[in-house]
Amino acid sequence: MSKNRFRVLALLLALSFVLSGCGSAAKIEVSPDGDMSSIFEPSSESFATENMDNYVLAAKNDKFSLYYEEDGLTICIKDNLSGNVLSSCAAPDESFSDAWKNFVNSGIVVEYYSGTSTTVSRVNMYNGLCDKKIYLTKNGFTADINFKKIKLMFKINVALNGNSIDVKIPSSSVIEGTTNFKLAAIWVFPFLGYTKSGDTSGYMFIPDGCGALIDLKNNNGKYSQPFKASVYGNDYGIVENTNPAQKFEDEIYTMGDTARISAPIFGICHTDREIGLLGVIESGDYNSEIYAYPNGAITDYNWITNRYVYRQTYLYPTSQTSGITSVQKDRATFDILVHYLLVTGENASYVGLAKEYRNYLTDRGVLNNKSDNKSVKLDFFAGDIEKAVIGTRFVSMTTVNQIDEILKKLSKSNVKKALISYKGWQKNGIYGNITNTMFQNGIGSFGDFENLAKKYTDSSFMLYADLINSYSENDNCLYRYNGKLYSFESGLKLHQQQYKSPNLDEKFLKNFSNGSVGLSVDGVTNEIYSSMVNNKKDLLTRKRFAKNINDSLKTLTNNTVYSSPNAYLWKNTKNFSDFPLYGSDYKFTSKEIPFFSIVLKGSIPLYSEYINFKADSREYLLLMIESGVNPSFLLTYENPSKLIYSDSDSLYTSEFKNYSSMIKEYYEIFEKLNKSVGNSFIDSYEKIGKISKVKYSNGALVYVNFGDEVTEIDGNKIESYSYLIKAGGKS
Amino acid sequence: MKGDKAMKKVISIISIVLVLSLSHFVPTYADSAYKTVTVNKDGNYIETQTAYKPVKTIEKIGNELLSAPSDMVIRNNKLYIADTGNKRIIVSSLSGDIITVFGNEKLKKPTGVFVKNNGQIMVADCDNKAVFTFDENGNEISKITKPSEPLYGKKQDFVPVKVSADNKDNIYVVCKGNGNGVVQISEKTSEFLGYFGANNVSMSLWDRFFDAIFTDEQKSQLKQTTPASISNVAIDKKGIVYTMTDIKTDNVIRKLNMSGNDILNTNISFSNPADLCVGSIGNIYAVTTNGYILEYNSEGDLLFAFGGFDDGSQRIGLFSSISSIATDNSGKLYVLDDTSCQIQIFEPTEFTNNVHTALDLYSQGKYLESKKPWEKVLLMNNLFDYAHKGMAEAYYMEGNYEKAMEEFRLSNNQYSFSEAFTEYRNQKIRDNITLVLIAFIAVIGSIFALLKIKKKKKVLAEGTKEITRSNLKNQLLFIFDMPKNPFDANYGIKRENKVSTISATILYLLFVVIYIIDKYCRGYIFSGVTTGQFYVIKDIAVVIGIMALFILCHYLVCSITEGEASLKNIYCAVIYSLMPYIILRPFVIVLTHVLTVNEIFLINILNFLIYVGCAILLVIMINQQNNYKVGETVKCIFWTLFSIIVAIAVLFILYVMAKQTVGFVSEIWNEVTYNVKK
Repeated sequence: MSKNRFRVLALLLALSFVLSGCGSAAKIEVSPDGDMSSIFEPSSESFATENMDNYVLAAKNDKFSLYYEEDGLTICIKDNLSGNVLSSCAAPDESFSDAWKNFVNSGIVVEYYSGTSTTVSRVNMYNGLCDKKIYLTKNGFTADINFKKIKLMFKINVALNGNSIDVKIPSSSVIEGTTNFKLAAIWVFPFLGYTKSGDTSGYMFIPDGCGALIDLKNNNGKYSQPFKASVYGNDYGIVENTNPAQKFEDEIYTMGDTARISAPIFGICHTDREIGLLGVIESGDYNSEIYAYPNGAITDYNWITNRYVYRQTYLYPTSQTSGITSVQKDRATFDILVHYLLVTGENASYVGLAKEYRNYLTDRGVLNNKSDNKSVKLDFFAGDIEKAVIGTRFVSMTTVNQIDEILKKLSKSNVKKALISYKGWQKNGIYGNITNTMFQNGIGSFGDFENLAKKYTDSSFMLYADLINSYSENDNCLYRYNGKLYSFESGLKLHQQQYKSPNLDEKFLKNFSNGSVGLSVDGVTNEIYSSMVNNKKDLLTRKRFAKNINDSLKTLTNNTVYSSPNAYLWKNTKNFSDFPLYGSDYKFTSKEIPFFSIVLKGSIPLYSEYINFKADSREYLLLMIESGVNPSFLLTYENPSKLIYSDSDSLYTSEFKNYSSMIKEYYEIFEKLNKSVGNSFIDSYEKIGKISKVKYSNGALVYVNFGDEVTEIDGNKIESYSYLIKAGGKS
Repeated sequence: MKGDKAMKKVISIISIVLVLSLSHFVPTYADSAYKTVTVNKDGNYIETQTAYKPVKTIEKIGNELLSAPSDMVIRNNKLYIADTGNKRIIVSSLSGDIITVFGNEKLKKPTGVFVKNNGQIMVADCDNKAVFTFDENGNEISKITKPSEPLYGKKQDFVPVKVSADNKDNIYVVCKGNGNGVVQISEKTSEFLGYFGANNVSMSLWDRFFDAIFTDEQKSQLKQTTPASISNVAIDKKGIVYTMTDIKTDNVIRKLNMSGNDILNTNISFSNPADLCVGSIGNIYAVTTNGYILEYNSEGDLLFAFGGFDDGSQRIGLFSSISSIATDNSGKLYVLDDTSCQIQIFEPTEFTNNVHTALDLYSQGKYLESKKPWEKVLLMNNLFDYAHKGMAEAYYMEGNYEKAMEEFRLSNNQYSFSEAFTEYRNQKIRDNITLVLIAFIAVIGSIFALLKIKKKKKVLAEGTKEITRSNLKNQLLFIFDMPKNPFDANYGIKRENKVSTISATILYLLFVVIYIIDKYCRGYIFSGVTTGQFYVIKDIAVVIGIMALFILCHYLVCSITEGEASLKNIYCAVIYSLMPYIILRPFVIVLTHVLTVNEIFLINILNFLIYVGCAILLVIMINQQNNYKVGETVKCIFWTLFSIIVAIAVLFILYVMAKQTVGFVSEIWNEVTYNVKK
């Protein structure tokens, strides 16, 4: 025994002498716990890719091998079965600018603010005077990084666990040695999974709206700008909204907003080499920005990654038109923890990535199989205020009794089970302040609404509340990082818009924990900002904000609907409304895919955006059937032309009598779909020409024909602009 | 501490207003990068559902990339593009497959292209200063250079930028820098037929004034008041010529008849015009250089506007700059972006197709047939006001005047509402003729009765000769004495205490109330305010402010010029002199509800009586209260008006200065607190 040990130690000593003689700044040591099984002989396991010769094995399991190299600290992942590789090291080109030259072959790039400057500078592994101490661990390696140029130290841990590469940089390990250089952001393995120009076929996946793909083919320099978006939206509590919102003829805003990134994920698939990865940010998601560079944007490479932001610049306003731009003094304290989920074989596709993400969420208990899929969601609009000769007057559009009348008519047409929500019930209508459950005079009372809920037991009744926007003067408003109130021009005639402080009123929420009426929550489910609290002394981070919201909303025991919730709320989401079926229509995306339906369908009941305002109702119906998303209508009893003098004048169609037949038609379609599909997951999704074929885990099949010709597939004939639903169990 | 808090509150109130458009209520982000707007009845832009959605982007024709292409036209399902940067013409299929390329040797800078009925292709080449005609294979057939006719103008250069031809193949050439209009050239003889459709010069009052007094030499040194030049021309299948100017004027697009007059009902005006084309139902499409696409109906009303400038977000439907637009038989729009060198194809949505169907029938005068399509449009969008106009015409034609009135009101058409109201009123009178006659007789009878009673009362009063005490009721009734004999009435105010400040104040309040009611509660036909917009406080403040200003200034002027009036006298006398307004205005308000446009003369007469009456009484008041001679009265009036203007100017300057000071102080305060916080 001791002889063996002696031999091994001697070998180690020899190794260390040899390698230290190389004169490089890197040192390889055994991890402090001295686990013998982690010692590999480098000579037999070195690996070379086209750009890097000296990859060293760090960990291996039956599926994948993880390699790293010390110069740029880049990593490389090999699929053991096929030998295909995902690398994070590209070849630097002399023609690149300094900021980019060694960006492409560095594993870690740090951005910092120097002195009082408000623009970031970059250092990478080659020009940052970087000292690295790399220890091998049981399933990967740990590196102590010291950027001597900017006096920044931190520790990074990379581990191979099953089919996922986990990368961690704990906040406690980040030490800034001087106040002269302020850490701005860190890029971790930005080029992981990159391809060059059109060499590999495949696509990058961005969580834009419903999900979009950027093809890896050669673009001939068409696209010069990358895709960039902050996870969960920009933090307007700190940064300014610099998008110049365009006005047509200086009078009306005409730009549509881009879709929000609601889940901290991104991915890339090399479809010809059957390997891909999905990056899931577990910690650091509130501070991440996702970047996707198609070839032609700065370099010839296609790459997708995220950037962790520690400090941002903010504007301290000194007058209406000018201010002082400065950098945040304290850096954000968050751990970086990202999982790169690897897919191979036939799973190296966006469907495979979606299923991986679904498994990831299920393993963490986020998706519990919930039932109660209602085939239609009806939102009733109570009313809004308009100017009267003196003061304002309420325009009633739907009273509680009128809801009763409408529901009676609907149940005569067999529309019995619906998700019902009442909007604008509070005093002064939809833009009024919500402090308790007092209804506006003249439309009914909370008690009346509860009686309605008890009468129609098959349906689920909720009150709608936007808990973050305040449209009237309110002491309880959100203060931004620069100490100013967050109020802005909302485009509304009679109201100003501000954000409420992020503490939900517990008393108000208690009303929805007993009785039969639930709460349909908007605002706080999809908008998240930093704010100054405690007399503007402490910064309430977005992470804390999210936790507070989650904790408060968890206490609601009645049924709830969350409007377009971000991923951190999915665990408690009982119903998901305003589900996106489109992306943002970027020029560089080649396809929009129902990624999130594949992830969420079967676990959370999904409801669409309002059908009233879609210009092509037929196409939207087909998209809903394809994704398994139930229809949602906004209804009023009265004609919406009564609202033209109020702030709800953009509600151009909602009268119930115009929609009663459409509701019946859609209800029948989705009852059939929900019966056939039940609570099963989407197993596979294929697009064959203009036909979509969706297969569920219980065997149900849904075909949707988006084309204008009758098509035959799998022995079934599908009409143009139509669909076919086959229940499970049958072939 | 408290002051600090208050200061902080003040500062936080003076916070930065972020310009952010978030309509949380109606989520619109998912469908497209751009919103579609239309014009509502009040002339404001409102959002509507997507009218055109992008279906395809043509990035290159076959393998050819475009370079700064400046014109495009569609004929016989083929796309003809003036590929200016590459000095050639490209002919392509509607889906981007290349058919032919020509012109490389001959063309220097082709900026305009057009295809005649016989398939020949005309190209305007501004660097060659010629219009070429090619056959389908690209062989040159003919070349038109500067016309030699003296009518053209010897010094006038010939720089063709756009070209078009009508059904008779007369050629229309738009020349750069030629403000005389479009150059018309005969197809057969190639001779210059004349200029067509020059824009009017609009001279402001100042321009006319200077034009009158300056010499020719001075005028030649000033900026030339030349008409805006025509930058583009389009001809529809009926042969009507449409011209477009290069800058924003009141009539950017004009639809010209044979004599060159604009026959559009509504003026088309927008910024940054780039190109135009005409659709199959006569609707006009226009594009702006900053990325917007507009659709007007054949009368010039804006139907839809959408698009936008691509600020780097690279979303479909946004443009770097647009140079041309064309439309095919199926209603698809082809938009040419000359910076990104791509053609974006849009397709009309279900909603737009319904609108076009209805418009087509409506513009042909088939109002009744257009009713059903308009109903379909309204189903999809209750607030599409143009549909209400269509429905109104249909109802009017049907004879359903009550509904027609309602719809005309919803589309804000006062004149047509008046016509419908006339019919409706006539109908109602005919239906209830007996009631009307009885009412008429009753009214006449009661007037006679009242007069008789008054006569009796007068006789009685003379008999008893009661000493009438100066109580409030009498003071208020004194207002009726004013018109009977203003001189005596003024004397009564001045010396006999026939009125008091209380009665005057009551009458002032009455004046303000009548003013507000008059402004907001007039009948719809004569209403001057936008329904639903109330600015009552502002109006009250303005009325009271003007009257106060007048009284004060007048008093100041009087006291300087040795007038005898005291402030109290002026205060009382002014409102009594405005008696015609107080008595007669309510009648006007009632009349606006029952009269139509044809009977406007009645209202005008009453208004005339009111204004002239007030003016006369005021002048008499000034004269009598101050005991002026005629000349002094005139001087006093002039000085009063002058001092009112000066007072307004002074107040305005004070306001601006105060605002600047407050802004300056708060800016300094913010800087100080920021540095302290750091």
